[in-house]
Amino acid sequence: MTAQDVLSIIMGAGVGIGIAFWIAASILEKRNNVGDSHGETYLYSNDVMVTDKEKLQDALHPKLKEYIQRVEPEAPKYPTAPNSKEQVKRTGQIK
Amino acid sequence: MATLCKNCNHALVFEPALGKLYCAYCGSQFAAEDVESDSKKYRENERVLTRDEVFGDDETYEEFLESYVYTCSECGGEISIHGTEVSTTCIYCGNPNVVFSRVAKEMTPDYIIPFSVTREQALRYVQQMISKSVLLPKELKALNVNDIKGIYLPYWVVNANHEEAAVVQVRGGSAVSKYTYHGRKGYMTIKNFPLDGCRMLSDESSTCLEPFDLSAMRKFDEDYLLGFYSNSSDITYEEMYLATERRAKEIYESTIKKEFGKNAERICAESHQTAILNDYKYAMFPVWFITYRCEGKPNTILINGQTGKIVGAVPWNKKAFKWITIISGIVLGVVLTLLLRGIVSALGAPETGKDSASSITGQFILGFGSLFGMLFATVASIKMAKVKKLLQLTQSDKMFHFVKKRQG
Ligand SMILES: [Zn+2]
Ligand SMILES: [Zn+2]
Repeated sequence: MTAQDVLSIIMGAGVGIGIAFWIAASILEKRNNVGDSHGETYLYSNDVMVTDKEKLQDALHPKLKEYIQRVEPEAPKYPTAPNSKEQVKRTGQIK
Repeated sequence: MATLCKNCNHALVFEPALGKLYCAYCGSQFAAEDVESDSKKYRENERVLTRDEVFGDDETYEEFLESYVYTCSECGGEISIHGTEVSTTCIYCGNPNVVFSRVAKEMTPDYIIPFSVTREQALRYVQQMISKSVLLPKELKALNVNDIKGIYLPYWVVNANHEEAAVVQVRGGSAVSKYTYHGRKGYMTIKNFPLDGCRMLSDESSTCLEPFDLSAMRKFDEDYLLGFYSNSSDITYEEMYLATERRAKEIYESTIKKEFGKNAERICAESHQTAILNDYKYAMFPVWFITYRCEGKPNTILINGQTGKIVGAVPWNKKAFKWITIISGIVLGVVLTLLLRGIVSALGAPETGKDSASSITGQFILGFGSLFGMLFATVASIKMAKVKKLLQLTQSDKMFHFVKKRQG
């Protein structure tokens, strides 16, 4: 065995551990992890309407900033907008 | 506050397997809408004493939430109720009690999804889940459940409008830069989004309980609570808004990203408006909480009481995991190295000198091999982080106390 042999076997073992770790983690994720998901998108919304599309130059382009300003962020809209720190009540109970 | 059997005057419980109220004493069954619960009359006019009024200001009593004392209608025993609870069992006689008077009419839910998964089924699901898991710690070989409670959780069923302008960063498609950018402005509605109303319960765990089938919602009736625990909502309008907004953004953004398939990198800028509509409903959804101890920590598994969906992570033997990975990794690595060398020398590389098979193999592994190795290790770490996060929720003290701080 030359020094090169030893080196290649050590390196090979490193690669092997990487792959073995991946296999072991995949099995663990599949078998020991249950129900880590939430309701599918379509359950709550299936009517996304895109009204406007535009290709922009790059991330620094001022048009990008302008683009997102097409929807103005507003203060949160609560049903009948009582104090936001108040506990939620049934609709019929809001005075 | 218990609801009594018309035939023998013993306390009734709601039986998920029958979907009816059941008398364990004489076997009678009643539909929830056919019995007149005492608590319905009770909640109209009774004033309830706080724990302080009954016991005085007790220092040893560490509960941070307010607490109330009721009397069991079956045996006269004192029932202590924390914060937002609305039903429980009497510690003296074990009979179900609904204590709606405190929350009064204004917090009576509009709807309820009754339990359809029975206690036995819930236990069996957890047993199956654990037996399917790998690298079980020794103490889990025989499952010892400490606690199982069926709890109705308060949910707000929300409709909302959402408008958003977002820019998607997409890989490829441009000669000058690595990415292209695409603006997508649009709107959508959110319908029947269930939002957990318990502050004590983290959003991560409650969203995992989804989906609930809302077509099975019925008009609320206290009698469905008999034999189960329940809480009323304590979230604020702000929390309701933030949870709805978060999910709305997620839905809109994942939808527009779909257009670019795998090349969609991320949303790099956005602006939005979310408005919750005025027609939100208050409902109670059934959840089983099953607790067992492992590694000195409480583990609480959640089960959707309507669909049987299980949420939780099973702990694993970390030492065994480490050594199995290392040893099988070394074996795999050596086999791969020898295999590669065999292939290279079979292809006719000279046996000695600079270009020997082992040298070529060594170089190859150094180059591509270590890159692949690291790639695999990175993906593995992401997967591990996911499992560990859910395990953390399963073993969280907050969850444990949410279940534990109840009588019975
Ligand atoms: Zn009876
Ligand atoms: Zn009692």
